[in-house]
Amino acid sequence: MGFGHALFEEIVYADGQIINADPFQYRLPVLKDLPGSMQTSVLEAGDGPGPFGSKGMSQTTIVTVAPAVGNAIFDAVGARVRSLPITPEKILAAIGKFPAKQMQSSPA
Amino acid sequence: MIPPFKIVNVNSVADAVSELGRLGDDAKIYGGGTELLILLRHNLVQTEYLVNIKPIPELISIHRSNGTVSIGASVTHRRLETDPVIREMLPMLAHAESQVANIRVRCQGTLGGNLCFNDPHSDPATVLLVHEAKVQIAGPSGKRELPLEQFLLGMYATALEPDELLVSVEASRLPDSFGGAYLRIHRLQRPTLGVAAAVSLRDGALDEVRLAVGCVGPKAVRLTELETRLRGAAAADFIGTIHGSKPYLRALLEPIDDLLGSAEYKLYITGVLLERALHAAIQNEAKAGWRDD
Repeated sequence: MGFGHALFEEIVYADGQIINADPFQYRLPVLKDLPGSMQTSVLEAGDGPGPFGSKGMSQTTIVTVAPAVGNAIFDAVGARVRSLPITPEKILAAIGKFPAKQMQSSPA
Repeated sequence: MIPPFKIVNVNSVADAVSELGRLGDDAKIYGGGTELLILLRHNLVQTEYLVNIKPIPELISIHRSNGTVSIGASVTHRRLETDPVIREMLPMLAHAESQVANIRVRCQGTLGGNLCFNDPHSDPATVLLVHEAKVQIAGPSGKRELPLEQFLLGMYATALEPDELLVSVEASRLPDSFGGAYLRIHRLQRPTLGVAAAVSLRDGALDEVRLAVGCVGPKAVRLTELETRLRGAAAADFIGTIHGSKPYLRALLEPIDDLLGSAEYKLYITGVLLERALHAAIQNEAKAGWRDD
């Protein structure tokens, strides 16, 4: 899910219609898109409402993928992409290879 | 929901043509069905009859004669990817076919179907243009032959008449002095862009050049003017010549904004892939092996 919204997922409208409402046009990450290894660090606080201070996790970390990718791109090429998903096209536009186009996308 | 239809099986090209003539607008040709079924499901095509051409033996043959290979219209992408004759004679095509969609589509979809639908986002036509392919068409008044360039008219449009059947595609192998390469990029299953290049060298500079670009505009096209400009160019000059040809490329390719990217992006990537394809063709990467992904 984190990689999806960071790199791929976007509902695209044209004339009020969703134009990518099928799995053929709506791109989800597949195994090939994922890094060979991922490392996770867990900081335990013990302040949750569950037994022994536990609380839900997993989805909490989804939001960290996009900034990690965005910062990695800035580190690599010195350009910021400030909208999701971060596509090759947006990166190339951000480093000035061609004029950026205002992409149609889902309402914020 | 697909509305009901009847399947008409035919065993020969002549039968197919006569059935198509008899049924007229109520019939569509059914080969692999990978493109047709999508259109039927979205109700973009309505048909009462599907003329099933799969039983026709003539359409599933691949045979070589001298420098050319004749490929029957019902030959699947998977067979083009793996067939020893294709790998030897048309390695660039085998390489491009290995990247079409996914293995399920490749096992089912046919070259003839692919060319007849002429979806702008497709691989085979781009490569075949560089192989100076011709198509053989059967109709009520006999057979006719067309260069592939004249067969592909525009987005989802070909020179095929409703009562005609694409029988085979004839592609010439590249001369021995040539190297070839096909490069594509994709984010969805269909390619965002594909570039085919075939070149020969003389004294370290380009001698003969063939270039084709697919997916940018309404159909795959040869870049004849850029080919002429590149003749005699050394490797260091490729990118300059390509950059200098941007207005030509824009006018020829007619890039549009769509789900796969903006027109500006596609034009930029065209330049990048053209330069890479020229270098890859010099290295003759098409013959170096196939990636299975």
